[in-house]
Amino acid sequence: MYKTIELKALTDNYASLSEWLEGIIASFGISGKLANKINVCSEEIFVNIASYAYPEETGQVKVLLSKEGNEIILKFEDEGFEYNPLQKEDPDITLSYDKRPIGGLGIFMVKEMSKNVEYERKNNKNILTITFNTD
Amino acid sequence: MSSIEKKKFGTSELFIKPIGRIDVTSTPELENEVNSEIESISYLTIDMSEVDYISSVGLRALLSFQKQLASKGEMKIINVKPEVLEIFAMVGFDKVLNII
Repeated sequence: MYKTIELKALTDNYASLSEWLEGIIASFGISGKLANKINVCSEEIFVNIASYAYPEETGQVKVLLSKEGNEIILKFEDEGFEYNPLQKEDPDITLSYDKRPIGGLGIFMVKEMSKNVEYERKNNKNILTITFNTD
Repeated sequence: MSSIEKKKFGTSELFIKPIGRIDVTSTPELENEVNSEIESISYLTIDMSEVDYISSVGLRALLSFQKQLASKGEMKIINVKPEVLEIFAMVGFDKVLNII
């Protein structure tokens, strides 16, 4: 059973999302590293959507969170232009600081912190599903 | 982030201690505090003892400070908590930042 929140895709709304997530994560009995990972992944995806999904009129983002057995499923849905963040090439994390580009870490961190990430385009929506293991 | 402690030693050394999360909401404040001094300083110490969360926006800010200071001085990151160190290691920042 998913808990759901719907927000306007604005970076300023991240604080509301974060507060909502903290409550649900705590109600699932999750804390420490896993809670941190869910929070970081949520921020990365939300900020990406807020920054890029709606270049003209700002739309909505729906965030869904559920615990099923030993898995936490975090889902993002937006109606912005079609974009699969998983196609973005991973950054070279072995480069020295002077050669490293300033950005490009967000999606890489989501992939590293989760068990699985899947993208689908359905009914004109971008749907990103991130799965975490609770153990 | 609830607040930032900031101390200046002489004219060239800045000490910054962020408290709480370094996320998309708080990073602009951290950037303002550091960028307002970065032209004049050569040494920056960031005390991470009260930080338990950092996202890519915060990492980007740290890398930007490092790039600006490397040619004229040094940036040191001190008292990093294990959960933040894990994120630094995940993105290779444990190799590029001067973590003490």
